[in-house]
Amino acid sequence: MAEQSLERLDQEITLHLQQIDSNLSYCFNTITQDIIPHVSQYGSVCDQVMDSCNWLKTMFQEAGNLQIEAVGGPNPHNMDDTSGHSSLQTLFPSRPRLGPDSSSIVAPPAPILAPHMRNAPDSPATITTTGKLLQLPDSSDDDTARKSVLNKKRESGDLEYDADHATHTLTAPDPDGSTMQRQRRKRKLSLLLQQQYGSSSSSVAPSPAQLKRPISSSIDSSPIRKDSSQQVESTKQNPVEPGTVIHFPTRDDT
Amino acid sequence: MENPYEQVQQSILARIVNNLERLNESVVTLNHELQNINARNKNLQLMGQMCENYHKSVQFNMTATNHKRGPL
Repeated sequence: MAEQSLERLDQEITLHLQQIDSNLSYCFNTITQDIIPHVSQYGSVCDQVMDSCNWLKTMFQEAGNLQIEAVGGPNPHNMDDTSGHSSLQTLFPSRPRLGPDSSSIVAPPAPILAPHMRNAPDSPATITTTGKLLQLPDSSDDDTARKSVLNKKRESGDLEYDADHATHTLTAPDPDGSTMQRQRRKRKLSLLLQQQYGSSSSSVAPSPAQLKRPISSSIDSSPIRKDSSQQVESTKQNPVEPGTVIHFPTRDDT
Repeated sequence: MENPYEQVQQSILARIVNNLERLNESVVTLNHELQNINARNKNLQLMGQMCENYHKSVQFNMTATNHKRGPL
């Protein structure tokens, strides 16, 4: 009785282990074949969206400059725009492409803009808005700095910008390729391991010659081979369904 | 006498370890991709905030100057 229960327990353990194995291989297949390609596709789409939204950035900058020239105009608009530009300020450092350049060129245009801003409060009814105007030059300086940066980039460094962007977009897929290569290597390795393992298992399995095969008890060695090869195929190419169980040869009656 | 199940279970465990390694690797690559996408989408989010602020300011300006009209 005790032996029978032990045997049954062993069978259950092997069954559960096989289930775990098949589930793991199923997870691996779904992640590598379904999720990662879609995610990379989504990333490329996001890149495209970012690129096509690039004009918005220049539009906001130029709009800010226009409003600075027409300071006598609506104040709340300016206020909101300053808030918008504050978000711009937060936007730019977060952007790796423009961050260092803008910070390096922010300093020089400030004195150039100063007379501009002194001219600006000449409009009569800006007493209450002086505070706001005091807030404005910060953003305006930054704006002109940014604009100068942009102009510079447009004139001279556009190629650099494009190159930077190209490198930025190029560096993104590079790791993917390397990871893909790594995965391929891993797959090859695992294939080799599995082949070795399959041979080892086939050499191992019959070693207990009294193996029981409840399903196919016709031939001794070939079904085991078949089983192992099917198993290799199933984990390699065919996505295994989560519940499937790979049958290993178990105790025989002999 | 050796337990014949032991070797089978050992081989299955080796397979499981192997599978786990591969799975871990793929999950790491997936995480990497997602991090990249998140870093890019932050810029998009900021752009959206800018547009929203612009929209708000335009609306406020139009209502303040009585130029606001209903949609055509």
